[in-house]
Formats: sequence, structure tokens, C-alpha cells
Amino acid sequence: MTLAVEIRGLTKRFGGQAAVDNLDLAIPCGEFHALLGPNGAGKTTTLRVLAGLARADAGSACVMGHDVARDPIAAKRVLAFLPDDPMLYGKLKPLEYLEFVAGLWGIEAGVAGERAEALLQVLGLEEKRGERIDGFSRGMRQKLALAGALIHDPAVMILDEPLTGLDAAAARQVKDLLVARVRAGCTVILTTHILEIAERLAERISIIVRGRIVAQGTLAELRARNGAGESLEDIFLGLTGAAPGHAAA
Amino acid sequence: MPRLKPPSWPWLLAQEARLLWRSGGIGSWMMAAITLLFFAAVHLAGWLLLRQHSPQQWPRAAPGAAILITLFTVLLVLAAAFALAVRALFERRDLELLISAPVPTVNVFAVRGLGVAVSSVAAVAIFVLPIANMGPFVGKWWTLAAYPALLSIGLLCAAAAFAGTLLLVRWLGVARARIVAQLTGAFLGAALVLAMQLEAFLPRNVRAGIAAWARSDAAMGWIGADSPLLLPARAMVGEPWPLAALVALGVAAFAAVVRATSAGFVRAVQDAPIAAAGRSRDRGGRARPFRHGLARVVIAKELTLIARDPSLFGKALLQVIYLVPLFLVLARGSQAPELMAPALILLASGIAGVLAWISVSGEEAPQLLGSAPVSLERLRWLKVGASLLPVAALVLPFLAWYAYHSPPMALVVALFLAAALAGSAFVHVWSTPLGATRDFKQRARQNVFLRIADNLSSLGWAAACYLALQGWWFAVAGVVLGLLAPACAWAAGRRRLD
Repeated sequence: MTLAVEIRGLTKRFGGQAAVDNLDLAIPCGEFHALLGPNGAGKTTTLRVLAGLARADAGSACVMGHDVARDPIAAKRVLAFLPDDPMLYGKLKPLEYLEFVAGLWGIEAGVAGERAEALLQVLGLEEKRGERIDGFSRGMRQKLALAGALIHDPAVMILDEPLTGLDAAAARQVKDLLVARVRAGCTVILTTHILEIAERLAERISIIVRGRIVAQGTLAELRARNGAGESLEDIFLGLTGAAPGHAAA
Repeated sequence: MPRLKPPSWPWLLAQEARLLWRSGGIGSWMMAAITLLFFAAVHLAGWLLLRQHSPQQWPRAAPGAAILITLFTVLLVLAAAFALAVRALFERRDLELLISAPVPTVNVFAVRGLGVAVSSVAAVAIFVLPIANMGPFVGKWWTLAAYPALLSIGLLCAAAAFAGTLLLVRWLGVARARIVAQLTGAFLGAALVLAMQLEAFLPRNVRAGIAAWARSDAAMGWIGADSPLLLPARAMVGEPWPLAALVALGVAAFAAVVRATSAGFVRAVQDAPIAAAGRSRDRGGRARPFRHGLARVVIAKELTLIARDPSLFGKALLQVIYLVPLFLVLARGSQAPELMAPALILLASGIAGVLAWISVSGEEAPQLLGSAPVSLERLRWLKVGASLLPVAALVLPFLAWYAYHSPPMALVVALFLAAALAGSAFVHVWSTPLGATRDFKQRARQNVFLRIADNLSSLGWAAACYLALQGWWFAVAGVVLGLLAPACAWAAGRRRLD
């Protein structure tokens, strides 16, 4: 089985405190994987190491077999990273922005233009193509950033809270788009605090607490280990120690 | 956009140029017209100058003055390069996108560096290049050498600034390096003025020794017509060998720094969030008590945030550095303190204006304040008042000096200083809407009127103070100008606030 993402013994400290602590994670190609955890659990740090935006203090991280520390260019070529608060150039127009991102991934201008047009249409932004991004709403920015992540047709997509700021229709549109990408063979790894999204979309779920994976598997496997019939929310709150029972105790 | 192969460095450079051009701030027809008029005027002045004079021999004819101007220009460019390098390394959020893309980081770094090189010479270029452009029209083609010469100075300074900033990152960590680099830039900007003032503090025999050295043959190697310090000036006037040497030096230094430090650049970008996390950690100190009462909590919050904001702290310290030469002049007593009073007013009200503008317009939680059951005008007053407190503390030593030497003069200076600070406060309270930090730079460009009004008010009070100290009744004109700006701010801004 080819692994899209393979993390071994990853450790990342901020000051003296470990944000990610000897973390292991293996995600096969073509999987829709949800990485869940409470605030400050180490999800974003793990994703930033994968995207080459943070250095690991120990351990290794590979994307499609390419070590992100040793061969970052090859790893980045197959990867798209959408941060939770993506930066967009306010002075550019959406088409220009997408062509710029495509250029960073080495896509020729003609191909980039066609893909950009198609993505704008799919995400319902075609009417905004003549406007500068600084006039966009939060939801439109998020959709454009997602289009930027999709434009080079990545093998692995890492999405940090991709549905933040989207209305119900736009969120549905994005979810459908991601599912279609997974069906086409793309690996999607997302973090979210909306557990229903993970419950409905993810094939496997990893729950991370204080920088370590405390549970991993399909929803059925998690239920089997933690008590059949429980919702993901119950399992999550139980594992992270945030359940009302824990609080009362 | 030209069809360059993405993501080659020329392609990245073209993207950088496009972004620089679009964020240039010429957003309205009015600004475009003013810019056009300015450039037309400078070109006309250049044409008139070159028609009557031929400054090609000037560096060799007056080497002392040429070296001084060269040093001043290079320090100015270097100061700008440091400020821009800090911004390029730590403040441009698009670095995350660029670093996560499969682009060799050396290309990203090189393009950032070129952007810094070009931007750092911009302030000099807008005055020099229009003159250079007019050279061919009067048969003096050599003036076009200013283009490669200026770019080479920019490359040298950008290389020095990037190398210096990244060395600071290695020695001090990202958080401290950022502030120290900003202050280094500011200090370099003021260095020449400081050095000239410090020279006057030297003992008489040391000064005589310096003067004797300046007349010696040994000194001629440094300040004579063949001095290596004249290289940039001689390159600017089109001397072939100095120009070739300067271009080679600039390109070689830039290439060497880019190759040697691009890995450090990536590490600095990767470590920037760690620095932020480190800054935000509780260091165990007791939190400032936010006592009951609107005025107390707003002032406590503003002062706490001013003190904890490294860039704001840097900007304020920058202004303090520029106050040092002023203090030296006062302490020497060789020049009339009457001349220094308006400078003090201009500087103090400048700092007050910056702090007041940032405090009101750069609010991090405007929705929170807007939804609070208190008058927004009162909030603005409190925020502006809080931002004036550090300025008041800053000018107190100067007022104490005036009071020690001449109490009546101190009274006049204090009066006009208070009026200038109050004027600045009125302008910001009446015409600055509460805004979010993320839109801060955009609003700063939009609100040209506010900046002009604030500067006019300061200028009016400074002039009034000087004229009053001279005993001239014309001081009233300055007072009118000082009052006019807040009045205009009131008339123009009050209706659209709240």
C-alpha cells in the first residue's frame, strides 16, 4: 500500500513545551482523513511541518514518499496546503491570483488560465472575476483560497479548517468538491472542529491530544473501542477529557 | 504579464513588480495627478539644472562635500533597506504560500532581495532619476549612469541589510532580531547627524588633531579626489571604471549574500511563529490590574498594548533616536534654543500623531468596542489621550532643560507644545474612525486628508512657537494654521463618524 503521508516520531517544541510529541501517522493514498483535536492539540503544527512551513525538532515526515526535510521541492510539488487563515493578495483579481499560484507550481500560463476559469465557475466565483480580492467576503476568500489549493491538481491536500466562514450552500459545494477529488484518487487530510463533517466525510479519523495520537480508525472502529452507539462527539469528548462528566469530576 | 516561464526567478520578479506597482498607493485620480505634477516639476528642474551646469567634474572638484553627500545617501538607503528587510522577512504573510510551493527558496529570497534593493533607493531615485532622464536632451548622456549606479547601491545595501538581519536572527532569535534590526535601520538614518553633533563634543585638542589630519597627505587618501569613498559619486556621474566597479561590487555582494543566507532566510520564516508563541507565553509576571471604570480600563489597555507591541515600540524608539541630535544641540548651547523649540514641537506632535492614528485606527477589536454601551467619541478621546501620555513623558526632559535655563521660555514652549499635542488629538478624535488592524495600511493610504491636516496643525504650532519666542506678532498666523487643521477635521470628519 502506497502511503500519501507518513509521519514517524515527529516532535516539535515551542520554547520548552512540546506541541507535537513523538507523533506517528500513516495515511494511505486516496483516503479522506480527518485530524481532530481540541485547541492547541498540535494539529496545525503537524500540518505545517508537512507543508514545509515549520521544522521538526525530531522525527520525519514524508509526502508521497518524499521526505519534506530532505527533498522539500519534490514533496511540495504533490502537495496543497490550505491554512486556516489563508493569505490572499488583495490587489489581485481572482484569475490573476489563481494564475500566480499555478505559476508557483510550474503550470504553464495557458493551462493555468483554463483551470482557473473552471475552478471559479465550480466555486461560484465567476461573476467576481473582474473584482479585486480586497473587496471579497470571508466566504469568497475561503473559496478562492481553496481554488488556489486545487489548481495544480495535487495528489495530497492538507486543509486546516477549510469550511470556516462558508455559508451552508458554499460548505456543501466545497464538501462535494473534496469528495469528488478523493474519488479521483486524491488524498485529503483536514482538520475541523465541526465533528459532523468528519463523521460524514472521513474514511478514517485521528484524534490528537497534547501532540500525540490517542485514537485512530474508521468511525465504526472508534465506536467499537469506545462503546458502540456513541456519536463521534461523545467519543471525542471522552478521549480529550472534555466530556461534561470529566468537567464535573 | 510577460510570458515568462513559471516559477523561474524572472517570473517571480515580474509578480513582485506587479504587486509593488499595485500597492503603490496611486489609487485616485487626485493622487495620480499630484504624482504626475511632481515628476513633471522635478524633470523641469533637472532640465534647467543640466542646461546651465555640468556636474560631471563635481566629485573630484569638491571631494569633501561629495563624500559627505555619498555617506548621507548610503546611510539613508541602508536605513530603508533594514526596514524593508524586516518587512520582507517577518511581515509579508505571502511567504507561507511561497515557501509551501515547490519553488527553490533561493529564488524567492533573491526576488525579495531585489524588491528591497529597488524600494530602498526609491526615495533617492525620485529626485535623482528625473534629472538623469533630462541629460540626453541637453547632450549629457552620462547622466543615465545614475540608473545602474543607484541600483548597485541598492543591491549593496540590500545585501548588507539581509545579511545583518539574518545574523541578528541567529544571535538573538527572531523576536529580538526584528526589533534590533528596525532600530539599527533607524540608528543608521540618524548616524551621520549624530556623528556631526558628537564631533563638537570632543575636547579642543582632539578636534585640532582631527583638523590637522584632514589637511595631511595621509587623509587625502580618504577624503581627497582619489578616495575610494568617492566611488559611488564618480559612478553616478558616469565615470566608466568607477561605474563598472560599483556594479560589479553590488552584484557580487548581493549574489554572495543570497547564496550564503537563503537557508537562514527559510529558517527565519519557519521560526517566526515560534517567536510569536514565545512572546505570547506568560512569563510569570503579574498582569496589569484593569481597574473598574471606562477611562481606567481603556487607558490601561492602550498603554499595555503600546508597551507590548514590538513594532510600535520600535517606531517610538526610532523617533527618540531622532530626538538625540536635538538634545545634543540643546546641551551644547551653541545654537539658539529658539530654533530647537519648533523642531521639538514637530517631532513630538509627529510621534503623537503616529501613536494616536495607530491607537484609534489600528484597533484590534473594533467590533467589541463598537458594540460596547459607551459613546464612541468618548472611546476615541480616551484612546488618543492614552497615546499622548508616552509623548508627554518623552518631552518632559526637554521642558526641564528649558525651565532650568529660562523659565519664561519654558512656559512658552510648554504652551505651544501642549497646543500642538491637543491639535493632533482633536484631528484624530474628530476624523479617525475606529478601524481594524488588518485594514490599517489601506486606510493610511486612503486618509491623505487626515495626514495633511495633522502635519499642517503641527507646522502651524511650531511656527507660532518660534515667532512668539522672537516676539513677533506674526505668531498669530501660526496659531490660526494650528487651529484651522483641527477645525477642518471636525467639519470634514464628524458627520461620517459613529
